[in-house]
Amino acid sequence: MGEALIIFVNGIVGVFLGMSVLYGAMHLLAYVVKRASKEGQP
Amino acid sequence: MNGGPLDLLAQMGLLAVTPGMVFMWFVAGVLLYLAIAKQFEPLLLLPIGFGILVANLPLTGLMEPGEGLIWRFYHYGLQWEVIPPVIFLGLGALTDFGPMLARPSLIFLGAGAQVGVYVTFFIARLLGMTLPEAATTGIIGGADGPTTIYLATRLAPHMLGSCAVAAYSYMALVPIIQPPVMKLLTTRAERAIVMKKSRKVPKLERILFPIVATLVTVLVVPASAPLMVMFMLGNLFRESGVVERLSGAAQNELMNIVTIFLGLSVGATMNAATFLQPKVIFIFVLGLAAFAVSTASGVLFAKFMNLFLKDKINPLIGAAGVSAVPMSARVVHQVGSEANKKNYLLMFAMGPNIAGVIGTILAAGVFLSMLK
Repeated sequence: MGEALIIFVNGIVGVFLGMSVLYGAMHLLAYVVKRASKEGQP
Repeated sequence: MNGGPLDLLAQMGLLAVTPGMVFMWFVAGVLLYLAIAKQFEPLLLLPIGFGILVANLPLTGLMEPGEGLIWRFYHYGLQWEVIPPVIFLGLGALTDFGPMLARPSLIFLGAGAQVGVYVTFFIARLLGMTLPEAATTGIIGGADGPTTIYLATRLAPHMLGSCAVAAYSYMALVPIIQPPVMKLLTTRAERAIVMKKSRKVPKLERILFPIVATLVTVLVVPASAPLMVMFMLGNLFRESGVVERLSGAAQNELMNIVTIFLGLSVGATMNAATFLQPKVIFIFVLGLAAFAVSTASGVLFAKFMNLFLKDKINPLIGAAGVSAVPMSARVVHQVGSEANKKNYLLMFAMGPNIAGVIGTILAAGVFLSMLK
């Protein structure tokens, strides 16, 4: 049962960690694209 | 040449039929009825139903290892792990990440709904399943057919057929399973919340997203790569706008072709010996529980997020964090509009719905990296 508990905890942490990093990347991407489009304007 | 005038009789399948086979014909009949008469996930349930029927005809050798026709589809398509990633290529080409990119915080609802996967995994283990079996049962809660099939093939091939049928059946039953859970966990006032309009996502951001998402998610959970890479490649085909032929082929011809082989070979794994076991009842009951718990955890996580958000979100959209694209988003929209006729939740629910696909791939990746 200890193994199942370890997988349970790792699973939830892994999914939330993956999503958190993706969340950060999405914000960074939006920021970079916004800056690039502003610099492109006359 | 064999002698005897009665040799033909000995080779007739009719005399080799067993009661278990007849029962499986009935199971096949039920799936074919649901697919054709009720149109429940017909693209998958129809070939699966037919696959079950032909796999339970005696003396055909269709699933004979190394020789049978359908065994070859199964071996080279599923055991070689080709078909599920190719399906994800098509899904990527069909997916619009716009609603998710417009409001990035909604991706956490896709993660919240995966809690149900792990809760069910734990319960299944408590009930005596092995770790790979429990993982395969739990992933049904992610409501993502190709991911369920992929994980079952890798971890518990003997459960492939029953898990796939459970996953697709419950996906078809989303409008029946989800609303009671959603209503139980929310007040009418919460269901009536109107969400603030999302921003418009620039084209460049849409093009760059699949590249960035591939890098980020695969670096965190490398075992998710086969499905994630193909999913994002399909989306890059779509968003780049320069390979419309490839995008169209991935969405239509390729996806349709592999769906035929997927359904047929998954169905053909369900013979009487593997299906008629008490464990199969566990799979169906726990699969249903996984679906309900995933829905509940998505809704509860949305309510939790509302404690910190200035612009409140409608907690119903948390239920769309299970994949089942776009069915669960439609159900969310319908339940929301019952509480407030001016509420238009479909596009908001598509964000967590698509995030749910990514979440389920990550959940499967974690299982694989820990159990394989």
